[in-house]
Amino acid sequence: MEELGISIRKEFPIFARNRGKGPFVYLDSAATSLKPKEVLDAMAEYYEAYSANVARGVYGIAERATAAYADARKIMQEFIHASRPEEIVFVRNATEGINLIAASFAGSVLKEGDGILLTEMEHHSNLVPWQQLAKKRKLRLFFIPFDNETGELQWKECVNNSFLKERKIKLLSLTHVSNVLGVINPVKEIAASAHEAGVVVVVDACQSVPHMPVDVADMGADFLVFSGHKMLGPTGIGVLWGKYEHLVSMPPYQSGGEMILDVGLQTSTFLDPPARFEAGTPDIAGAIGLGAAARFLTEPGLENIRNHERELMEYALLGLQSVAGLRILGPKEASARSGVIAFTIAGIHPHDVGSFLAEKGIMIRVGDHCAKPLHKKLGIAASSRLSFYLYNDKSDVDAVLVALQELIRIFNL
Amino acid sequence: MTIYRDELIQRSRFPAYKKEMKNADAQGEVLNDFCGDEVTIFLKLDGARERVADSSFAGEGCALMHASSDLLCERLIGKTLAEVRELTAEDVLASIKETPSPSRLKCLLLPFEALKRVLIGL
Repeated sequence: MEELGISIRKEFPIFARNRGKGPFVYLDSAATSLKPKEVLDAMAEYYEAYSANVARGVYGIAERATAAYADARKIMQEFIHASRPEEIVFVRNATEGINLIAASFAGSVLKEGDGILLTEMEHHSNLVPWQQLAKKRKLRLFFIPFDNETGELQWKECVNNSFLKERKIKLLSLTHVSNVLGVINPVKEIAASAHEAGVVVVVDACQSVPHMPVDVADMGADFLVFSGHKMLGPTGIGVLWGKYEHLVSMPPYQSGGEMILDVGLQTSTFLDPPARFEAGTPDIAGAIGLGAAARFLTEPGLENIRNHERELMEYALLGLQSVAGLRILGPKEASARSGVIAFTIAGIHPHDVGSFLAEKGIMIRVGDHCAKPLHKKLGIAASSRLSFYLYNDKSDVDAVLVALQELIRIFNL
Repeated sequence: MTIYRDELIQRSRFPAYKKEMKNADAQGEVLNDFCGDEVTIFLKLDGARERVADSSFAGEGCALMHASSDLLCERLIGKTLAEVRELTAEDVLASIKETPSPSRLKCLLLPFEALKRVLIGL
């Protein structure tokens, strides 16, 4: 097995391309990940050797493109352990996946006065689409709180029969891993409790699928979404997974070519999933690139990637906790969190932290990380966030710690 | 090279002009959608309403916003309204003696944007 950390960087052209320009410490993989050459090559191969449209052509390269697109779907099915490839719908990103569920599934199943349960830690992508739907269909939104200190979701007081029934909650949508707190939510347990009350469960797996083994069959959710670009794949492609029994009963989200069975001047009939939800020419190269990314990740394996990130997290927690005035958001134990860690430093605005680190070639994310309500609850406007992936190393954490000590010194704190 | 020179840090940590002005003749507020920073610029005019008698700022944000706001307020005091209207973004950046990265330019110019709103009301 290939070693993780510095030795795997040779697979990622961006490191070589930036060599000789000073430090290149990339700690923003929760925003988007770097891309290995295998992914770029797979996409270039499609564009250079067989860039035909899918599902139509009767000639050689069209058949190859169709097979490659189908193969990508099969890889993604196996990657998340879905029961059949038809449960994998290619979308632009997780945001589009949630919009699709909101418009097609929730839009036809939920009735005026029904409730939707979310959490206080959601990314805007798993909040705003539900707000829009609630406004349109006169639904009510409820939120599972989290503990300000530990980041733990206080779900037992909400996800139980009496709470859910009293508020006519029909759908629960929650993140598997918070993109700010890093906390890993017990979605399997939560989904089981929600199902007892007949509530449909949607999981935002953007921060989990790239970083740890995810098995949708074991998890027991109804829908799950994630973005390709956060798991070494290209931008513009993501996955919506849904139980086939749901997908097959849902109306189209967008309509047009590639999703119809028959078309007349007045009416049309639609194909079965997943084609029903993939109107127009899909992102063929994107899907092929995503398949290549999943294959690349399977090589070290998600278990190893998870362990690698956990080791880095243990090291980072120890180092950051020794920085004066630094407050870590979320759990304080590496086992309870993913490879994401956000913090604030008393007296220094996160944007100053980010700019100062950028001057040192250290790339982190600062701001509200598209989770304004979460920050508001913690009584802060913004935070600084480091996020790890398979190419990170303890030396990256050391670079941050050294820079933070210098920053604190120049701010005379 | 760091943008965080001692002069800028000192200004941001101990701003001389950061205070709410109760009897301001005009004030303007802006929000930075990039980071959530907000700043309000206050102006007090002289008896003839020709010159800036006093200026201050209030708000929450980063060191760049604080230093830039403090410098701007200092600079406004004593100027005629006509002179204030002639100030450009380039003038503001020149006084800070910094060329920030594009993503942070907005932080430095936030008080200038607020000033533009103040002037609309005068």
